Amino acid sequence: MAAKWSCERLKDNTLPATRSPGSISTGASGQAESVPQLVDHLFRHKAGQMISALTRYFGVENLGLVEDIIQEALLKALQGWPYHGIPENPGGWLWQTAKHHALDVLRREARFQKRLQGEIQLIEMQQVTAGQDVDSYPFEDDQLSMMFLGCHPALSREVQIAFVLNTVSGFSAAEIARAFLISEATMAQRLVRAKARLRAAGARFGLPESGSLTERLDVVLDVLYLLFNEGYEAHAGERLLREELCLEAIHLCKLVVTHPIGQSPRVHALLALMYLQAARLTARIDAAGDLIVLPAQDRSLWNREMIREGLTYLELSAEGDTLSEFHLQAAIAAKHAVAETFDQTDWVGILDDYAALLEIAPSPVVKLNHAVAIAMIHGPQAGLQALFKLKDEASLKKYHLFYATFGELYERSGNVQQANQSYREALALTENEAESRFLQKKLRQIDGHAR
Amino acid sequence: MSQFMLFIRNGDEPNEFSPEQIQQAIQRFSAWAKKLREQGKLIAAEKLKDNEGLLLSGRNGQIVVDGPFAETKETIGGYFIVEACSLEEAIEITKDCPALSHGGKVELREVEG
Repeated sequence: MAAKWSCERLKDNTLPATRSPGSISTGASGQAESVPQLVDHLFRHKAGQMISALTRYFGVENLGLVEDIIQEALLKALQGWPYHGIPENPGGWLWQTAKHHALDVLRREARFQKRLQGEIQLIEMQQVTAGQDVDSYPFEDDQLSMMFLGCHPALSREVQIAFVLNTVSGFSAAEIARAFLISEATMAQRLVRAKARLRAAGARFGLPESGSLTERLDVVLDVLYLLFNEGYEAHAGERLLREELCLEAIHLCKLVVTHPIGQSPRVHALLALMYLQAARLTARIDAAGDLIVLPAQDRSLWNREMIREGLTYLELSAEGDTLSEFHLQAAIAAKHAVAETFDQTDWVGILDDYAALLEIAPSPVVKLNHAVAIAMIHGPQAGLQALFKLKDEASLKKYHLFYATFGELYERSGNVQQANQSYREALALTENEAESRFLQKKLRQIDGHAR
Repeated sequence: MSQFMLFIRNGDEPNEFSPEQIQQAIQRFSAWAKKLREQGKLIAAEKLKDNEGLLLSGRNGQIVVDGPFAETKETIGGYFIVEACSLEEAIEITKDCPALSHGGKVELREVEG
């Protein structure tokens, strides 16, 4: 059975070791101080929760106002906590403060504009939040609603990802811009336009009707999948930030899966895939920032806890008769994750999975990986033959890994000259520094052998 | 040992901070305060109420009351009282004050006594 993790547990176990200075125990006297500490990313996650919750009361059209209210609450903490210390329940404090600001704003609106809507909102919010234990507000519904809002069909995929990161995850426009390598101004513009577009489309805040639920949920899963890959594939950009994107995709997927409407085999499969891939994140790059390929990875660095979680969700995903792309990809990732050494990898099983994947989602990248699996079982020549069949795939012609694979298989079959040329082609196409260095190293090695 | 007062003047910059950056700023502050407390150098820390405060002055035998001050930039947000052996040490402590890393200013004054 799936362990129902709280997000705190996820954070404790899986976040990279970037503990804040505040959480290092530096007791000169050796005594642990009873000062409350902040959970990593508390403010970011809390901002996402609170923006979602307040949007329920203020409406999609007032999202900008909601963001201002939240920012004010967060800044109030910065203005007070340095003197008073961190409160016992920091998250509760922030929510309490944000609610007070929100009620003030609604009261003003109700009083001066005498708008019926404002009064209704005020009454509703007072009812929901009055006398409530600060920790018991059900943020999950609202965050999921916000996710559906962000994945509204009126927005493009790119904007959907950015919007969800901004509103549900609490990343600023500047932070998202850095992860996606575009300017801060462009990203800020995009988010402003997204809000306008949602307003114009008459988007409503709330969970979708049961009739359109599956369809809308599929879009959310697509967005989370792309978000994860954005972090995982590491085309370029800052490493830590990219890891954070992966972990955030997992965090959001957990939000979906813990909600009654989100429990479907596809969601389980996607979460399994994310865990199984993310488990290898730290082993993929060495201290110098260089890429380490799968055969050379130190498998003791793989995150066992994540692998266990991934396998649990993979098992859950088998309930029902759905077999999605996510299922097969997760099955492949699982076969890598459980292999104790590279040589023990179940390549026959992986080849089967790729063959099945080719049936339901025959993308060029899947075809490429299929060829790699063939080479692992039937040798480099067979792999090269499979690769040759892909020469006319337009999207592979500019894909550096296509040529890197050629290089690899040529090298293994002893054709140094062809290997050299293929690696050079790959090098010319890659935009990622770590991958460039990796290919340059490969080229030097071949040259050494040739001499 | 002398006592020094650190008046913290809030800056403008934090308005642009992301939630993550705000949290980091708070954590820098608590690390700074914790270190001072553990060294026994932190005597007091108080926040002053926002946007309140008056300026009273006597003119021609009359008391004039100014304020409250709406301008948040440059207003004193709070103060710390620290103990240090010398002005130099107090300056070192103040240099590490996280307010300086997000647009704030710190006025350092020695208590005479």
